[in-house]
This record gives sequence, C-alpha cells and structure tokens, in this order.
Amino acid sequence: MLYSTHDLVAIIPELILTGFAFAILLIDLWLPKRAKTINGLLALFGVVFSFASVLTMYNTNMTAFNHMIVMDRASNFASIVMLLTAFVAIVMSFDFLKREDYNFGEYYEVLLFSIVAMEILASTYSLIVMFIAVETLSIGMYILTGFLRNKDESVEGAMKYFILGSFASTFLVLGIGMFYGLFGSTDLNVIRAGLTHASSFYKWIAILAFIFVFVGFGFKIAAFPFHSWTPDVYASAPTPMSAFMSVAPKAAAFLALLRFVAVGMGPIEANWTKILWIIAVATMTFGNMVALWQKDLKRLLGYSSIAHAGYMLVGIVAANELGYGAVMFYLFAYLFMNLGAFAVAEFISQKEDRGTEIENLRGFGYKYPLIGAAMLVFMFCLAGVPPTAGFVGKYYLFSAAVKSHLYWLAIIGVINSAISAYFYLNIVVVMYMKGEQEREVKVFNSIPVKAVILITAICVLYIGIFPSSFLSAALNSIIF
Amino acid sequence: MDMNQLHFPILSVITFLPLVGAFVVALINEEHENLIRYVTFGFLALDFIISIPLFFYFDPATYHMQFVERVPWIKSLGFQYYVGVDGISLFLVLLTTFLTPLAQLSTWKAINKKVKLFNITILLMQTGMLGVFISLDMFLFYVFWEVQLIPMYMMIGIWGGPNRVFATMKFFLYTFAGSVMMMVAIMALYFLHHKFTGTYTSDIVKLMQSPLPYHLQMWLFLAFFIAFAIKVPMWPFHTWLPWAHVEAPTAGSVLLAGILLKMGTYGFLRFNLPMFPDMTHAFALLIIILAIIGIFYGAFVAMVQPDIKKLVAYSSVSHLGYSMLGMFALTQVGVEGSIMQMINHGISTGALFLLVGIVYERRHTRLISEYGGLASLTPAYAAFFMIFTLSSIAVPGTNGFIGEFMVLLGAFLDKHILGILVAFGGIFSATYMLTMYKRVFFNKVTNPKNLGLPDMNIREWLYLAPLLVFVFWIGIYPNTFLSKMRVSVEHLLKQVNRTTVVTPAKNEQISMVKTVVVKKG
Repeated sequence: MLYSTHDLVAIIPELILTGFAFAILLIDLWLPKRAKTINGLLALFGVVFSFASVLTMYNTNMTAFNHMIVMDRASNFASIVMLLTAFVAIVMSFDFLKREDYNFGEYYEVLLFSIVAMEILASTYSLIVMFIAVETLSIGMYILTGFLRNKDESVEGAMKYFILGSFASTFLVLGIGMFYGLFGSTDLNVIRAGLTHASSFYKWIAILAFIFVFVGFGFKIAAFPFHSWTPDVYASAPTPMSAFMSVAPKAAAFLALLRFVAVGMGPIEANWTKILWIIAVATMTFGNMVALWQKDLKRLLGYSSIAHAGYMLVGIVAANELGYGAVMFYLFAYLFMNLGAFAVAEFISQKEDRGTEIENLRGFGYKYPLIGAAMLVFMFCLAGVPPTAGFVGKYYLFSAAVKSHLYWLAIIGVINSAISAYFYLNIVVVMYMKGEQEREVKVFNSIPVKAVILITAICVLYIGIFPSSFLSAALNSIIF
Repeated sequence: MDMNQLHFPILSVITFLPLVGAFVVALINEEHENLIRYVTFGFLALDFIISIPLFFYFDPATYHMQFVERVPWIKSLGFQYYVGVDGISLFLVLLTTFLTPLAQLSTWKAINKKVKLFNITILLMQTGMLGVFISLDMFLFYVFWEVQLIPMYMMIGIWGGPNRVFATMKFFLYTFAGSVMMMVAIMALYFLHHKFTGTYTSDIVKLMQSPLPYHLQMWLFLAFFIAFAIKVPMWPFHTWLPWAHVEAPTAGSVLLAGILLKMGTYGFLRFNLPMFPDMTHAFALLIIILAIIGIFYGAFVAMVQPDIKKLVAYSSVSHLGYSMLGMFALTQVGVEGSIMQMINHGISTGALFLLVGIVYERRHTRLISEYGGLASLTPAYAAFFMIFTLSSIAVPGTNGFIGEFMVLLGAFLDKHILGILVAFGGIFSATYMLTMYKRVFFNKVTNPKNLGLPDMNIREWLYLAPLLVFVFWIGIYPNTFLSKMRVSVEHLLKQVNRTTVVTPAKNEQISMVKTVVVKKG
C-alpha cells in the first residue's frame, strides 16, 4: 500500500469535511425545495465534527504522506480559526439563501471543499502542495462569489476574482518552479538547507523566486499591490461569503506564508523582511486611506480588511516568535470582529443583497439598541481601542515590531490605527449622532444573524479583557 | 513594600462598582427616567462613600503604594492587574468619586432624551477615569486611558450642541493619535527595560528605576509627552479643547475639565518625571516656556470670548499651564502646588461649568451679552458664581490661591525670573473673569427675557454646596491635603534627581542640574 493508515490520521479533520460534502451532494438530490436547510445543517455538523477532531488532536505533531502534510499546533490553531469562521458563515447563510431563493446544496458543499483546501494549505511544508491547495480553495471562492448568478455585480466580481486570481497563480507556480530549479525540491526544509550554503548568485535568484511566490500569497491575503480584487469581491459576493472570505482563506494563507518565510526563507531573512516592510506599510496605508471615502459598509469592510492584512504583515516582518504568535492571535481576534461587522451588514441588507450603504445605519443605535451596541463594539475593536480583542491583537503585533527594533514600522502602524479610527467612528456617528432615519428601513430580521452579532460581540469583549489563555495558545502554536 | 492596610480590595470596588451600576441601569425600562436617575446617582454616591476610607486610612509617612492589589493578568507577557495609590493619585481618585455624582445631579433636567444611555455612559466613564488613576501596570494604565475616551466621545457626540459631531471627532482623533504614540513608547519601554536589567516587567513602580541611556530616554520622553500634552492640554496642542467644551453637555464639560484633563498632568507625574529623569531636566525649560505661553495665551483668548462657556474653557488652558509650570519647576513646593492646582481646577472650573449650565438650562444661551443684572434677579446664584469666580482667580482665602501661590513660589525658587513673570498672569485672569462677572450680574437688567428668571432650586444647591466647602477648606487649611502628598512628592523628586547609570560623559552637566528642595513647614 502506498500510504499507511497512519497517514490518514493526519488528515482526519479534512476527511470528515470531505465526507460531509459528499453526503450533501448526494442527499441534496432527494431533498424537496422547502427542506434544503437540511444541507446547511449537515454542513454545520461536518464543521462541528471536524472542529472536535482538531481539538482532540490539538497537541499532536506528526508528518504524513512523505512529509507532504504536517499536523502541528500551528495548523490546528489555524484550522480552529477557519472552522469557527465556517460555522458562523453557515449560520449566517440559512435565512440568507432562503431570502434570495438560492437555497442549493452546492453552496454548502463547495464551502466544505474549500475549507478542506484551506486546512491543507495550512498544514504543509511543501510548496507544490501549497499550490494545489491555493488553486482548490480559489475555485471554491470563485464559485461562491458569483453564487447569486442572476445578480450582475456578483457575476462581475467573480469574473474579476477569477481572472486576477489565475494571473497571480501563474506567478506562484513560476516562483515554485524557480525554487525547484535551484534546490531540486519544493520542500521548504530542503530549500532552507540549500539556501544556507547557496552562493550569492543563487541567493539573488531565490529572492526573485521569493517575490514571485509572494505574489501568489499576497493575492490571497490581499496585500498591496495585489489587493485590487478585494473591495469588488467583498461588496458583490453574498454577504455570508464575504464574511467567510475575509477571514478563513486569509488564516490559511497567512500560516502558509509564515511557514514559507520563517522556515523556507530563514537564511535570507534580511532580504525578505525589507521587501515585506515596504509591502506592509503600503498595504495598511492604502487600505485605510481608501476606506476613508467609502459609502458602502461592505466595501468599507473590504478596504479595512486590506489594512488589517497590512497590520498582520507587521507581525511577519518582525520575524520573531512574538510576531508570528501575534499574527495567529490577530487572526483569531479578527475572526470575531469582522464576522460580527459583516453580520450587521447582512442585518441591514435588502433582497438581492443590496442596501448596505452606511447611510442606512442612521439612528440604528436607538432603533436596535443591542445590535447597535454590538456594532459599536465591532467598530471600536476594528479601530483597535481597548477593551476589545482588536486592541490586544494590535498591541502584540506592534510590540513584536518594537522588539525587533522596527520602531518606524510600529509608529506607521499606530498612525494608521489613528487614521482608521476616523472611518470606523464615522459609522458610530451615523448610528448614534445623526438623528433618526427619515424613511423606514426594513431590516433582515433573521434570528441566527442576530445571534451571531450578539455572540461575536461578547467574544470580542471577552477576548479583549481576558486575552491571557488565547494569547498563550497562539504563542505556543508557533513551533517552527 | 506594597501594602493594603484595609485587607479589602477597596480600589477595585470603587472602580468597578459603577460598571455594575451600568449593568443595573441597562436592565431598567427606558420609560422610568426618574428611577434611572436615582439609581445612577445612588451608585455614584455609594461609590464616593466607599472611597472615603481611602482618605482616613492613607498612611502619609510612606511613599510606597497603598491599598495595593495585584493579580496576574496576561501571563505570557507578565502583565498584571496591579492597582494602588500614593500621595499623588490619592486625591485624583477622591476628586473623581466626589465630582461625578455632582455632575450627574446636574443632568436631571438638562438631559431629557436618551436618559438611560446617558446614565450608562456616565457610569462607564467613572470606571474608566478611576482606572487610569489607580493603575500601576502600564499596560493596564493604557487600557483604562483609552477606554475612558469612548464614553466621553459618546457623551459629546450624542448630547452635545449643534457642532457636536465635529467636536467629538476632533476630541477623539486628537487624543487617540497622541495615545497611540504612547503605546509605542510603552512597548519600547517594556523591551528596553529587559535589555538593561534582564527582566520583563510592565510594573510602573519597577520601571521608575529603569536605567535607560540618554538618547533612548529622549524618544520615550517625547512619545509620552505628546500623549499627555494633548490631554492636559498644553499650548499648542489645545485646539480640541474649546470645541469639546462648548459642544459638550454640562456634565460632560465638568468631567472633562475636572477629571479628564488631570489625566494628562497625572501622566507627567507618573511617567515622564520618575522614569526619564535626565530628560525631565533637559526639557524642563522648554515645557515651562510652553506652560507660560499657555497661561498667557489662555488668559488673552478668554478675554475676548462672547460665550461664557468658551471663556471658562480657555481659562482651563491657562490654569493647567500653572500646573505644568509648578511641576517642571521641580521643587517640592512647586510639585505640591501643581497637584493642588489640579484639584482646585477640578473644583472651581467644575463648579463654573455647573453654574453656566444652570443659566443655560433656563435661557438656552451662553452669550454674555444676553445677560446683565442677574445679581438682583437671582441673588443666591450670583453669590455662588462670585465665590467660584474668586476661587478661579486665586483670591486669598480660596483654594485657588493656595495652588497658584505654591506654583509661583516653586517657580520662583527654580528661577526667580519665572516666578516674577508669571505672577502677572494673575492680573489677566482677574481681568477676564471679573469683566465677565460684571457684564452678567451687575448693571440693570437690559434683556427682558431674563425677568422672572428663577433662582437656584434645591437640587442645584445640593450639587454646588459641597464644592463650596472645599473652596474654603483648601483655602484656609490646605495642610489636610498637603500633609498626605508630601512624602510621595519628596520621593518623586528624589527619583527625578537621581543620576542614571548609563550616561554619556558629555551630558553630565544636564543630569547634574542642582535642584532646590524646599522643606515646607
């Protein structure tokens, strides 16, 4: 036998998801239209079981399939982030798909497959496996972006995403090819060993290859200048999917990037930190500057997610354990604040997934006191004001930079925080300080969505006030 | 070293009781507005009563932190929930617990929409403000420092005047931009302390002994300086203040002037002076110059204000200039005077804002020209206003005199010319305050709208009378207060005058600047 059962243990979480995805595919055929929600429940169960398996195996450290797949605390931590995101996104989708009359099983099935790809992306040291995982998850994301296929914007967004994504992938595969040409392997450990003794000419080629590979990852995490798909896709995709896309693929891509730079590119650290320094600064500054002018909540969150990717890159540029741990922690914190904010966007959205203009939030804080208060918490959290998870996350990211003596990076980071406070607080202004809404705005009165908003708000505050155990988990997950 | 003589977490109780109150108020139905007001006031009054033992059990013979509580918080980085007070923060804590219930009492009529949200906001603000003054862990300090921005932001933005959105955004962004610089400095201090001593700590008391080299002290000092100077606010960082004050509701102005601004001056005493002694000496003159500019600038601008509230707001810039001057004179009497000035400003300016609120509530205007001859219509009101005006311009017998005199004496002992120069500032403050008083209260009643203006009611008496007591108590027998801060201030100055270990030779003359320490009898 080519693979032993031992190998399969390492991919149990993925196998569970795959199993449920196939189950949905089959069961969907017999389900009458009004019972399609069962698909969603099945997907939810799949996520829960996968989550449980990740938790039980949290501390295992094993490699499988000839070192192609690893399962370690880092991959498990990222899996937890992705599965929580998926859970919330599925809960947000129940009533949404009913409202839009798009209640098809394929939605959940594609979602589950894409999570499988993300988990694989997060648990490998092999560039070629990373490439396959990136491609697989991207296909899922393209489909889900254009899922409302009668809505022009949605299809346009999907097309844009697809074309730009394919373009970025070619760079990724080119970079991987160059590494293979240089060192005869796509395994990051081998590349590292090769780089350690490489001549300076090889090193320069490796830097070029690094840039190509980074284009691929940069596209996934929406780093400047590979960000341009983000606002369109976030604004046009079904809201639960925008929420999902803003967190889960990023978590996977960030961990893959971490493995790539920390393990594979260790010997040329001095070079890549300089490149990423510039990219981090450009990403956060660009995201925040453009977000200042946005009128639509989903689009604003799209630009803000670019800025947040910039903050997380700060942790990578710091190139120390605190920084890497801070990136993981930030992903965890970001999951709650961003999903919450997107859930509010869904709450105010109208049929055909429209009506998410910020102006529609006028007087929102008084009409819906609890949900308004939750949105207030999300906005302060995204701006990085205590006592929220966003503050703690930013504090560690920037203090990692300070630890590596990157004072300017930290200062640019905090100035960006201050700039971003303007547009996040502007939403609070609209909600509380601009008087009542003149015309009646109908909201999407879905109980699961409301539950998501309130629970994520509580989580954001809880993590902000008692971050200790989450932070330890994030710091301990970094073992490379 | 640390002690908690009560064996009871008194500081946590007074800090988080208002938070509990906020939850309780949140549960009350919005329609029971009076019940909400009573419950909120009850919590704030209870908070004050619980804080009184702090004063009586405080041991004035030691500079160590008292009523200390220490619980590990974020273990992987060694951050703690570490709180305590010394002779410097004690009175700021008491000022907060004292002033907030009075401010809340002033809103019973003035705030009549979104009453529930307002009272929740004021309770949350109380927790944030107290947290700043009791924190002895710099991460904890920073958390509270930022947290209290949110309720103030909401208070100005929701219950403020016509330009409230601009004012509150300016307030928030200005302060936030300053504080994030401090955040970087806090991070840097954490790692640099480790570099020079081998231990990671965010314990403020330990960091005060941090042996930092000269050039690093400078950057850290500047970062903290920006954050605190914006908060004080020192000239030229004051531009947010008039906006915030004019647009804020009365209670917001009272708390802003009375307590929030003190966070800036307190920050200097807690961070800049003890942690960066070399830089304190190096920058002292510059800061003194800025403080003096502030004193005169505030007074001159106040002179031409047509709006009473704006006048009082600019007078704050001037008064806190005194506080900064006394502090950076770096003499015992100067620093003590600086702390007295903080307390006095809280009392007098707080009272003046309350008084402005009283007429605004009745007439909905704050323009000086709309009034005139009020003394004959509302005698009790005029009397209160007179006393607080005198206190504000530091007439002997009132609290203002003690603070200003000590500051001037401290400055005089530092450099004679400073004391002499600034003594003239008093003339200007008398000019703008008394002119305003004359135009509002004396002469004949020219505006018919003022006829039939009712005098102060019982509730208004209730919240102004306690302030009056302190005007005279501090004015006549300040030793009650000074005796409790003496040892802490002595210790602070000892820290400021220590020579740090790693000092390059060329800078020696700066760190060796001699300082006169005056023993007050």
